[in-house]
Amino acid sequence: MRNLFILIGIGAVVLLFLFTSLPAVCGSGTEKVAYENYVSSLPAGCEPVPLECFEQAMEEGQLNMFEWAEWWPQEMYDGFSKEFGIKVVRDYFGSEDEVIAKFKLNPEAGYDYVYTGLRAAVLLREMGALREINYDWVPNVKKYLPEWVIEEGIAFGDPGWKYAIPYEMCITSYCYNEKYVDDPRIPSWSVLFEPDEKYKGRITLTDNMWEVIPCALIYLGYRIDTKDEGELMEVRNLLLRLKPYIMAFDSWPVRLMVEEEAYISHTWGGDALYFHRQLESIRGVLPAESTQLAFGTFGSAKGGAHPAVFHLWANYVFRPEVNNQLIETIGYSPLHTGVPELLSEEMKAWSATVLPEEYVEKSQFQPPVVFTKEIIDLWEPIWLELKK
Amino acid sequence: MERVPKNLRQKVAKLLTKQAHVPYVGPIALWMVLFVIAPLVIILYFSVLSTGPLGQIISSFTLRNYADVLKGAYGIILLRSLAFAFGTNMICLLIGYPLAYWIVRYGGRWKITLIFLIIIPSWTCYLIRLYALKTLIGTTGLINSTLLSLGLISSPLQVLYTPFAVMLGLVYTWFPFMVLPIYASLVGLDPSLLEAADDLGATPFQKFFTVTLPLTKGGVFAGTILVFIPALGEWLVPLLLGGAKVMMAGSLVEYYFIKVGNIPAGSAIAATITAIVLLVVYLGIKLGGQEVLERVT
Repeated sequence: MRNLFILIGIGAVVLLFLFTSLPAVCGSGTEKVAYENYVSSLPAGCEPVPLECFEQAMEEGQLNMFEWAEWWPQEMYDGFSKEFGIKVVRDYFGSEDEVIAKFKLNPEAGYDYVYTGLRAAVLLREMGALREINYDWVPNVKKYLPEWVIEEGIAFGDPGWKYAIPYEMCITSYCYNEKYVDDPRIPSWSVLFEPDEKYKGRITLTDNMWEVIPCALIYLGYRIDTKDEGELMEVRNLLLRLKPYIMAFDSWPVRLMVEEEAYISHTWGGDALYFHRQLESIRGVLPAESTQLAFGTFGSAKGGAHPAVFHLWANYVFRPEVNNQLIETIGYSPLHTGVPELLSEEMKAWSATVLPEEYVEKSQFQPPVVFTKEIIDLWEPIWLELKK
Repeated sequence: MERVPKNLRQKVAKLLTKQAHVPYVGPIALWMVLFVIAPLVIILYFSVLSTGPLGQIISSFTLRNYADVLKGAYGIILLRSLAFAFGTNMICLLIGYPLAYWIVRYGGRWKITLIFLIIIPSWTCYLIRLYALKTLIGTTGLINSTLLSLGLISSPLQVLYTPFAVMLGLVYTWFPFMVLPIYASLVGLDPSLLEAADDLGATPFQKFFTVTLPLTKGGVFAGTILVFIPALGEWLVPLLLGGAKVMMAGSLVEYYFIKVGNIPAGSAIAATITAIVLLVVYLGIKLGGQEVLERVT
């Protein structure tokens, strides 16, 4: 009996240790920083947060994040933690869908920072899970976010982006391995949606109906938010014809592309650059017919206990050199007006980085209606039929 | 006057005897309540809630999610899952039983080593094993590369991302869980019964079907439970080896929970799968499993 209690005791201690050490702590607080030192050490072109925000942030001392694993550069977190002596605690998700599911189950989740994307930004805001952003506390965002992006906020039901800060623009596209694909139709979507017989079983699609169906609609010349049954039937037929050519539904087909199992992959512009960095013969395209655009955004959850630290972090992310470091790593199109001139030659040459103005104009942003039941009820049968 | 304290003493002693089980049963009971019953209750609760226009959960009662399941909206996927789970079970049984039989009968001093070799792969993380299998059967994988270099095939075999790959992954993953209970029941088989069958002139065929198999069906039943249930709710194997093209019941739950974000619909499907599993186990017990389980335990 005594042994049993000893065993239970050891088990309890081990469990306690596991539960308390589970969150990935990537920085721990050090000495508090004086406001004057912070202001005087700022790099050129950077604006400081106001004293009130800074002092509150120093009191709060911690940033709880909910974000993608291994996407943004580690140096950013380390730099922030080191500069301000703030402890950064990161919790990860594997897809934007997981963020939405998490907040549906618990709208009060205690994250100071949440990577929201566009769909999550709209849904979390409507659920009342996001805290309003105080733009007076993020002067770098005010200074460097272009006017046209701020105006776009209206289209997403968030005039002035009060609940989510856009920081990059993402295009949905496809990439191909030039060693195996020599289709003269490149960069048309037809290479992906009506492929040559020789690419049968060598194509991957993202495992995401919010990417596949809009791209098919754009290829067929329709609006993303169409409710026309005939147009959606054409999409269904196109995708069902494509089905035998699909190797896998994979939103991160890096292994398949780099190991040359797949030749053509439906993916995002920045991810295609990542693949290209692994294998030079992988090329990205800017689809000829136009494409679907989205903003990468982040916000602060209402349940977070450290709102001032969130603002300090957001202001830090919008420092030109920090934002450039971020864009160089993730490979997406920058929104920060100070970044384009800092970009490396590799980034400037990449198809999805610096988008021509007319291309952005003819492309379509995901309108919020596509995240509602009204459109989901139309898309879901197509997607299930394709996958089952 | 004396009888009252004596009765009291007896009652207290009886109570203490009953409570003596608490340290043994308590932790597992707590575990079951926390990690089996509580999640099931939560899933049942969510499964009867509605969703708003943005997929947000609304606290109003509805049976629509179950109606969708019963209407057969996911019929093909649920039937496919049942077929995959049944197929996995049968393949594991057809390979596992003779293997366990051979080890018990002819393994000699290597018995433990051979069983150990079957168990060892399950010491490695499930995910890593599936990735290893993926590396083996991919178009540029080891098997295709070897066959190509030997000139046995002219183009790579398309194995990965097919229903066959899913079945292979399921069998590969759950095989040890079929072999072990069968092995345990075969080891416990009294050899004198087989000798008696020999003495009475039974043929090897008769001996197996009238003595060995009936006396080891406990192992088969236990193995079936251990293989069928997880195979039915499988999600990772169809994702990794089926390329998310081969949807199973588990994939459907994930699809509604995560991809569509309709948590009540996902909960209703999960509850339905649980009901199917319970029904299968109940039928198994009713059709002779109870006696078998009692013998095994």
